[in-house]
Parts: sequence; structure tokens; C-alpha cells
Amino acid sequence: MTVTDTVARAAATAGLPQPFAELGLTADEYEKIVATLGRRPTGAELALYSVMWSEHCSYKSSKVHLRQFAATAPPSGALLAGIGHNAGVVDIGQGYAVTFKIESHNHPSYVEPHQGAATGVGGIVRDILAMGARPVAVMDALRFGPADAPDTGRVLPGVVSGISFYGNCLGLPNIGGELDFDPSYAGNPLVNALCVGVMRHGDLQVAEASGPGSTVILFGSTTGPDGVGGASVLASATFGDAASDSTESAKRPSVQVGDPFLEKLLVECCLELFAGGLVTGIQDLGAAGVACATTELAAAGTGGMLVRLDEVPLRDATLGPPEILMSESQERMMAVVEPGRVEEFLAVCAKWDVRAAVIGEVTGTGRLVMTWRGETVVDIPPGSAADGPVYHRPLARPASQDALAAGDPAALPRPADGAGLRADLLALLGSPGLADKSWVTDQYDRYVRGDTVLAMPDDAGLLRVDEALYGAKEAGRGRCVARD
Amino acid sequence: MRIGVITFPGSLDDRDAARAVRLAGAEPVGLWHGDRGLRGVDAVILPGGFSYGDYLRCGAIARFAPVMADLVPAARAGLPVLGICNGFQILCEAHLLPGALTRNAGLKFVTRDVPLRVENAGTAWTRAYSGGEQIVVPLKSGEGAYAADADTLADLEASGQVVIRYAGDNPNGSAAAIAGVCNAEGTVVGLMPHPEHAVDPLTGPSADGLGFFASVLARVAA
Repeated sequence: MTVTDTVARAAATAGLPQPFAELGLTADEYEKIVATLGRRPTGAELALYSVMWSEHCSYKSSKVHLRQFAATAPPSGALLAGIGHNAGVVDIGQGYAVTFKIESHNHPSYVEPHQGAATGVGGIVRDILAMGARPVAVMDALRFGPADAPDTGRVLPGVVSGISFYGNCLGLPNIGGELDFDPSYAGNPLVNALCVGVMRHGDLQVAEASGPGSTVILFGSTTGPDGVGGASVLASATFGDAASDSTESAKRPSVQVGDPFLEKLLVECCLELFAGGLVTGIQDLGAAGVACATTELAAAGTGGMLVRLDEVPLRDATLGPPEILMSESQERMMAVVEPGRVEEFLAVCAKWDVRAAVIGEVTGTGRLVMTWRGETVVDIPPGSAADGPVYHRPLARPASQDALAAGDPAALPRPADGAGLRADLLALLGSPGLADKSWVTDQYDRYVRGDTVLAMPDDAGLLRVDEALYGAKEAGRGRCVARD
Repeated sequence: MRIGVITFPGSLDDRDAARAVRLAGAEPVGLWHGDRGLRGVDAVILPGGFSYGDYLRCGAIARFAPVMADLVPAARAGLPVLGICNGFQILCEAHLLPGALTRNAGLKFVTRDVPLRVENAGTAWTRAYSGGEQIVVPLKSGEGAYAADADTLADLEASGQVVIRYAGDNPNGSAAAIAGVCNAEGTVVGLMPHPEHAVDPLTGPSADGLGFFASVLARVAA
């Protein structure tokens, strides 16, 4: 028998111990939530805050440093959307703009290389889509441990097959990337996925829920128990929101499984929705799924939203509110739609065989409210979850930094004779990082869409943006983003 | 001259096929998998892609699309039909072409510019070439190994139904290095390489693929 931890129950049971530490929150952070709400959070609220305030979602430790990019960047009229959006958008003239973003998916790709890398591609493509652009190409910058290390033999082929599986099936040309090996990446590979999109200036979409009365629609894949490992601690007798028992939770994969076919349908469906003017706000669902999409849409818009969690299409009927909020199931988007356009919206989704569900509406209350089986389980100011804490962590310059900076490359030993030169040359020729990369790149489709002007083995990818106009997207820029 | 290009859920190269049709001088007409009727087109192309994700056997679901109920009898009655990659797989599943496509010999997806030999320049889709002509066209597929039983292979060779053959290394383990075949009448052609990606030297390895689309124009005009 499970008991729903409602807002009313939370207000009546102040001081009940809650597993905030197990969900990754500090005591200070938990106290901040209690102070914000004026009561202890419900299980669903605790789940929501824990994922929204994670380092992964809130950048609470790095935010103070990352802000410098926006503060010190020279002003540019070419930047149509910058830091704070799902992806940057750059004017390339004649009414066209390109958007591109690179994101790491390192740890999932180490745990389960094939699906980890595949869902890395899927996630970055949805970021580009959420800006209103048509995704037109992907790239990957990869770093692995030594080529002859046994674990590299597990990670590298899996990562490459995952990128190949997802990108090829999705129909985006892979126009370049990087591949290198170094012992420092053993056990910690770098798997960076980049996506480029093209749009007309007027196509730019916003991630906000504005206009009370507008409808909130969740569309794409169903919501399953993937990536909700943390929610299992809420499935105790005290916080019986998660209906499934913890034994079952333990069997769940921590890495999500990608469905590139559904993503292809989602891309075409979204672009048709945008073209029809059927969307006033759009957000992709990545880390923290419904929790993140609802709080960010609400916080950026009018501020209020009512969500009926019972309406979320589930692939596992035993999921409760915390799990629905935390689920990281792939290939999902959330849209804000004017009430008069909902039928048209649903018709476009039906045409593309994309499942869509009306899960709530925008309100003028300034509160994000969620109901479950007729009872309120979430009632928070959305900005408190979307913004998160900001920390100024202590800094120290590592001692090795000075030695590194003082090092003079000219002082490095050089071959003194022919034999030394020969040995250096052979070492370079035999280096996996400099070797022919066609074993990797032959597994990627570089031709699909028919706009690829340059791709592997060229030094950079180059795309034709529009056949009638000029083409320009120098991939080197994408690589610079990767190194930053 | 109107040439239909069918879009199935998961079709990816439909836009490229339409572009190739346009470059060849004809009008591309989009056909939707869920609609009935062929909108009076003079020929049809089934483009490449991953229809229904190819999660099941490639082409096994697409062959049941509503539009196929009109395409199959029209093809049997002589309508020129070209299947490229996934389109070839769908034509085999629909029994408009003999044989089947199976996993590549290396079990990996292969993208490569491959030299091809035009073995039969008499089909509706290859008459712009000359017999034995060599062309270079991209191949990009994971399940491109052509397979058929020994009798079928012997029949195909004897009747000239092997239209295109890999001229260099066999990139995927296809039987007799077969890259494309046709029906007995030479009106329905399927091939794994992508001629629609070789229509402009700017974006492809050559413009060698344009001949497929030019061929059917001559045929339809005749």
C-alpha cells in the first residue's frame, strides 16, 4: 500500500526526516528548500529540487566562472541568441542563421559506450531543434585511453557504433571530429557530440511558458523508469510515492536507451509545428526530464503552470510522481500552445506518428503546481528550482601550474642524428592519434541531406546552408567550442 | 515529366532523390506512405533511409504501407521504379525484386565511394550509360550484402538482371559482388549505392549518378 506524499500531508508532518542527503542535497540546501516553501517538501518536490540543484543541471559551482564568458565577450550584433539559451545562434547574413552546440556525454559513454554515445547525439540534436532550427550535421570529438589498453577495446568500438547507429538512422551527416589517445583518458573517455542547425532569423523559438490559459503539451516518447535511480530512496514506507519496490529499481539501467527513429519523427514533427506557427514556447527534455522542462518553461515565462502528472504517458504504469519528474527517458519535447491551436498541434503529431499529451496549462499564479490523482503534490515558485544555489568554492593554483607555464618547448630534447630522427618519425607514424581514421569515419554517413561540401578526411567540415545562397559553416569553430 | 519520391517514416534521402530528379530535368512529386494513389507520376523512386528505424528486418514494415498497395500493381504493369538502399530493401521485401539484403560481411556500417560497373545499360534506369561503363558513387549501409540462392543468382546472370556490380573490392560481401538488380522487364531496379549523392561534384565524389535519373526521362519520353 503506497501513500501519496501530498502538499497537505507535508504541511501536517513537519520535521519528518527526509532522505535529502541520499538525493545529493546538503543540509543547508534542504533548509533552503524548507524556508522557501514554509514547510518540508513533498517527496515529489524533494526529487524535483534534488535534480534541479544538482551540479549537472544548475552549474552551482561553475556558474560564477562561466558567467565571465558573457561578461567579457565583445558585443556582437551577429549573436541572435547567446548564453542562457539551449544553443547559441549566429547570424550568417541574408536572413539565415546557424546554431551549434557541443556537449559531453563522457560518463554514460564509459559505463555503456554504445547507448551512452548514441544518446549524447540525440540530446544535442534536441537542443538545436528547441532553438527552432533544422539540425543539419553532427560532429564528434573523442578522447580515449591508450589504443592498446584492454578497456579502450571495449569503449572505443562501442562509442563509434553508438554514434553511427544514432546519427545514421536519424539522417544527419557526420562531417568531422577528433580522435586521440592518451593515458589520462583511461577510465574517463571524452565523448563530445556537436550538432549544427540552420534557420531563418524569424524561426527562432523561445523556451518559455507565457500567456495564462496556454496549453502545455508533452510529446515524443513515453516516460519510463530510466535514469531515476536516485528516486528509489523515496520509495520507503514513509515516502511511498514510488510504487515500485527498490529491488526493481536496482535493476534499472543508469544509462538511457536511444530511439533514433523516433527522434527523426520528432524532428520532422517539430519543424512542421514551427512552420505552422503552432508553438509559442518549446523545451527539450534532457537531464531531469519533466522536472527541468516545467520549471524552466515556467520560470522563464509568466511564472505559473499547472501540471497533471497523471496525463504523462508512461511506459511503466508503476511510476509515481518523483520518478515521473526525474525520468530521463529520451526523445521527448514539451511545447506551450495557444488553446485554439491545440487541435492543429495534435493533428501534426498524429501525421508523424508522434504521441502527444496535454498535461497542463500556463497560469497567472506564479506557482508551479502539480497534481497526482486529484491531490496536489508540488506547489513551488518555479524560479527557486530553476535558478538553484550559487557557490563560490575555494580556489588554489596547483603547484604544478607554475612549472608547466615556465617550461620552454625549445628546451625539449631533439634528435641529434639520423637514427634519432628515424626513431622519432617512426614513433609519429605509429601513433594511433595520427593514424588513418577511416575505421571510425567509414561507419558514419557523411552524405545524407546532400549538402556536405567537405567532411572527413578534410581538416574541417563544410556545409551548403542553402542551395540558392552561399554556404558557410566552418567546423573549426565547433572544435574550438569543444576545447573550451 | 513527373517522378514520385515516396517518404516513409524514417526515409532520409527523399530530399536528395528529389534534388537529383530536378537536376535531371524532371519534376519531383512527393508521395506520402500513408496515402493511396500515385498522383499520376511517370516513375517512382523509393529513397534511402531507415524506414521504421530498421529495427525489424530492413524494409519489412514499409512494404505494408498504404502507398505500396498502389505501387506494387503499377510496377508489375510496367511503371519504372527505382529503389535506392532502403528502397532496394523494400522492393525485395515487396517481392518486386529477387533476393534479399543482409548484414555487411564486416558487421559494420560502411560509408565509402565505390567504383561500380554498369553491367546492364538497357534498363529503364541505366540506359544513359554504356554497357561496362565504370562510375563512382557513394555506398552507405549496414545491411547491404546482396544474397540469393544459387539458382536465382544463375538466372539473374543469364538474363542480364545484374544491373550494377562492385568493380573494386567487394565492400560488404554481396554475392557475386552484386550492387543492383532489376526485374525481368528491366523497369524495376534496386541498388545499394546512392546515385542521388553523386549528382554534383560540389557535394559528391562525382556527378556519375545523374545517369540513373536521366535514363528514366529518356524512357518515359520515348
